[in-house]
Amino acid sequence: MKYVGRPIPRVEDELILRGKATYVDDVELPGMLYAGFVRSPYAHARVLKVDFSDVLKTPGVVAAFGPGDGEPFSFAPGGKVRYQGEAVAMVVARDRYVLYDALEKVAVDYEPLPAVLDINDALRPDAPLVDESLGNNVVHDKVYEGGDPDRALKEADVVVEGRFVVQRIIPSAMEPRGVVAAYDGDVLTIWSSTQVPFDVRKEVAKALGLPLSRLRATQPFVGGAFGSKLLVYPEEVWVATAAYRLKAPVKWVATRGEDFKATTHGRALTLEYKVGASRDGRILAVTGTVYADAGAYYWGEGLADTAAQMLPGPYDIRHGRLRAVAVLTNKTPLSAYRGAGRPEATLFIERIMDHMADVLGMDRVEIRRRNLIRQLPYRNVFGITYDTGDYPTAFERGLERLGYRDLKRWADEEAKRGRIIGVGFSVYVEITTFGYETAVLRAERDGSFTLYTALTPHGQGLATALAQVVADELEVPMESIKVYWGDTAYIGDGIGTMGSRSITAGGSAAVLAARRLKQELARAAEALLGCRPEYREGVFQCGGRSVSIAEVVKAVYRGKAEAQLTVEAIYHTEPTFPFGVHLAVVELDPETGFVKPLLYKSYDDVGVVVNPLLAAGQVMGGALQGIAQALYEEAIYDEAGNLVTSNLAFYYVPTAAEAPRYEVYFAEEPHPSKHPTGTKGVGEAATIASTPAVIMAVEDAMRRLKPGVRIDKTPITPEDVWRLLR
Amino acid sequence: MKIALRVNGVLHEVDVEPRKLLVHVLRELGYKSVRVGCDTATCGACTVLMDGRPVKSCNVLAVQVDGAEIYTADYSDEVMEKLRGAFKRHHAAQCGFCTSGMLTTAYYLVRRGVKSEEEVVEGLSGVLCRCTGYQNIINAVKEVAGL
Amino acid sequence: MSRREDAAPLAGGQSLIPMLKLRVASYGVLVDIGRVRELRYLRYGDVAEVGALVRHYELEESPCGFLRGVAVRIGDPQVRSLGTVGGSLAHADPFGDWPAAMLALGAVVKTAGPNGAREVAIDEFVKGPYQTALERGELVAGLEFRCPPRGAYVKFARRHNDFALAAIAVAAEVKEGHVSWARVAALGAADRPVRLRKVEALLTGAPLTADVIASAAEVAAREAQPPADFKASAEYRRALLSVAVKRALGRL
Repeated sequence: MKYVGRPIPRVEDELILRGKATYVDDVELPGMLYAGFVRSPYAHARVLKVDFSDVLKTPGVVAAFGPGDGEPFSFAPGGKVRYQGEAVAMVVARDRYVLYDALEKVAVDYEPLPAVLDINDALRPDAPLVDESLGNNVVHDKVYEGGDPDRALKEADVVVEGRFVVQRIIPSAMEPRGVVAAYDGDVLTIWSSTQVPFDVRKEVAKALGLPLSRLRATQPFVGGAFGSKLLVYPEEVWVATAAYRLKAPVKWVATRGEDFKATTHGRALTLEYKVGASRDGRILAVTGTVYADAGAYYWGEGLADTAAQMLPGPYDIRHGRLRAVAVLTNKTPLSAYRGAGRPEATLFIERIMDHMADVLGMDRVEIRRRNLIRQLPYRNVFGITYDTGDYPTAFERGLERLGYRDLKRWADEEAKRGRIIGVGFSVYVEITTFGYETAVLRAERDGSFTLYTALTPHGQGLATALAQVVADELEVPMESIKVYWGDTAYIGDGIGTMGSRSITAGGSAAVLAARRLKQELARAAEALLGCRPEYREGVFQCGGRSVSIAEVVKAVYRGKAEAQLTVEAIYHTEPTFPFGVHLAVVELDPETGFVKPLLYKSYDDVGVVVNPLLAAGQVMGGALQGIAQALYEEAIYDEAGNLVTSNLAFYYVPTAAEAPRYEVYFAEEPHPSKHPTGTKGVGEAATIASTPAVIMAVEDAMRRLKPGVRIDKTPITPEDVWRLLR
Repeated sequence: MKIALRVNGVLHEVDVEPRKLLVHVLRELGYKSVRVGCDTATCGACTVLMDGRPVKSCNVLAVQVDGAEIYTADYSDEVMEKLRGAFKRHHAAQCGFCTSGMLTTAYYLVRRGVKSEEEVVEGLSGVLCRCTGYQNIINAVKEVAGL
Repeated sequence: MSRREDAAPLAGGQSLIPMLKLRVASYGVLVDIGRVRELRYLRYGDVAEVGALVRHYELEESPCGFLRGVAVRIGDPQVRSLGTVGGSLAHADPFGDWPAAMLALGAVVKTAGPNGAREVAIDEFVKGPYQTALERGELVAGLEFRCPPRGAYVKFARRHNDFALAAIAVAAEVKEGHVSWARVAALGAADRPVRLRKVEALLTGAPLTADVIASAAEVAAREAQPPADFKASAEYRRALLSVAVKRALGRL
């Protein structure tokens, strides 16, 4: 193995660092028009009338579309809007500045309706209905059960109950969403800042009644996504429709304020729990309900369910019953955000562990030690089977490597000097990888290779990682492999980059494609050499003669031998489970409640690490998002349903000044997955582990001043800390 | 209104609407590295160097800066190339959307002679990054600044 | 600008342009005063004279320590490149750093307008949230103040570059351990930057001891009438102001 495992800098950086990476707003086409949306200022309202008469008279305005326009335009379905920011109409104009003036000229008559902004209000029997076709605001309600939780709770020595509220998060990728569509009369091409061009193509084809072959969806460089771009949004269908009908290219790029309301939010789960344990600290049963504040449309299916099913985490909990309930409210729809239910699951169980440790008077390390799963594979109480690993060893090695005890001692020393330092850790196992993924690999005449992947990277560096993996498989220089991604012109279907699946699903598909290609070329080489060849580093050899890949390819084109020079692999995955231990050190200003994260350390077993430089980047970036969830960010709505934290000035995405220093470690003896790459994925692991580690650290700091204080929500703001300490 | 801007050493004479933001004028002139990431002048993706200082080009009307000397992340000189090399080696870019703002700001810090990690952090605090967690960017700038 | 209701001056634009972009303000005419050389002066004599168009960053290296302490806490480096001291005063953001600092300095605001030049004491200049004593068509031309022998600026914000949740600016003279005079200005104690006169009264003539500082902090908490919003409750701002007074006085 020449490349896998090495910290190779990214090939993508050539374009990015020269400012030559093309994001959707960089796509310029002759005659391009600009689309913009009129969006509801109300959280809930009937749309009585949309009047375009003024706007259509405005010079530079080309078209306007509204609720009256019928499918595929689906403005204000049911005659109403359900959240502040929901689109009511679309205007298309020749110039962006003219467009934003024009949007103000669309006259909309709204009849405001009472709004529900809170799960508790939404669950009341007389609550206003977000979706009138449902009898209430519960859009999903499923129970996950295993063992005999009622009996286990009865037999438990100790039962604790509690509630943990996780806030609503705005994913805030640095690039807001946008789409460009152009129809030349033959093919409709869509550029979208998306994680799912394959789905975009399918949805638009369906909406317009076009065959897939006449539609190309391509992912330009995408400035971050974190799960907020893995749906096909209505705007993508609408802009494509406008381009198709107007026969001119149309571009829409969200402003940040628009993106804050029109792009899905994350987290917003609440757990009510009742947990029973034996006196010696064994958790016997976990019961309760996970509520998802789903927003106005149930676009984010399965978030509460994932949080429920993964709630047992790396612990041997044999009895459980968790109900996953999704409740509609008049807010931006909820969907995946880095971790998508697993950060919440880990936060919940880690907090339950700490709660139970408090009640039992047990050390927080010890209680975990006593509950960690000892033998894998392990089927958790809700039916999820964890594949490979050794949690007890990882726990001990992790705490040792991260210096937990030393840091606690250091915090004690600093306390004597008047500094209030908190140290916290978390243990996690997480579920990654699902579905199938595709790769197409082509051998070029000169022995270089072109790889098309259906993955849709947006910062991960997967073109580099895939080149490493394929180069090792083919035993050729990495520079000879060019990787293209995220474009339906190259590959018929795929799922894309999300759920920490890419290196495993897409990497394995690429490996299989490479193996298949080698077999094809070997067949042709055998015909050319007259004996069954051995393959080494791009050369087929037997009977004292050899032929290079380039020679084989040329021979195939000349008709001297037969082989598929372009092969496709569709790899079907099963989930795999990375795990680890993370640690956070924070400093608390007791007078103000301000918390500064000082240091963040991670110890992860993610199976094979293809590129430790890139993997560490995922850990650090993922960690800061979880730290920000613990301390800084919250999407706040007022009682009228206005999103008060309406832009980056008020929504606290951390700056470099808020970030800690990081130390990233990977397990010395990782447990590979069963996939061809042996990887497990690392994109979300740190986001999953960081929030509970920071919360434990803050609590640890606070308890130096007030024993027994407990944090039961995120974020924990300075004011929250100040109040808890009084 | 007719204005002249010297961008990366190249003189441009353009006729712009008075309310047009500098970032849009620069992008229309082909300097696509200058990006729009927000509407409250918070994210810093639009940061360019103007008359030697980092400024948010989304927060300036082009007509205000007639005659300005502007440098964007498209620029190349020895310092910028050192920064690019360091960014690549340190893996200081992921999605790349903030990278232009980071590069221009870093260029300013290095040329000014930043003297400590604290100064680097303070200097970069006006450009938001959602992907990297900042450490690799800070380390890349420190390396070029000789810290 | 005196003739048209829909005209406004444009200096650094760092407060005005965001308002235009968000369409919370709209003008028919913007008068770009950014190149008016006469407003760019910066002189440190017995009295410091700061022209309205001096940019925030220019005061980061000021020989006056108090000014340095304020300048480095304004916005972020890019905002400091363009934003002006005069613009900040004229904008009178309820959480504006310069208005608070100038209150602590007891600055005199020099204005220029169609009816000539005026001098307005800073205490009379800030009239309310985003409201100043400027008449239609008038501009802030500059500020005059003495650099205080001692001074400190303590600002609490969620992120490093955010607007303050609460802040205290203190300018004072301390002779033989006693406060000869002190001016204490606060952000977050009202709907605009205000002086905490009861705190000032307590400090005047008092020894600068831990006890006096603690009393001053207590009085600050009682004197303040902080606003409540989604960023902070009134109670919490009160507590922050108290801590800020203590720390600012501790730095004198």
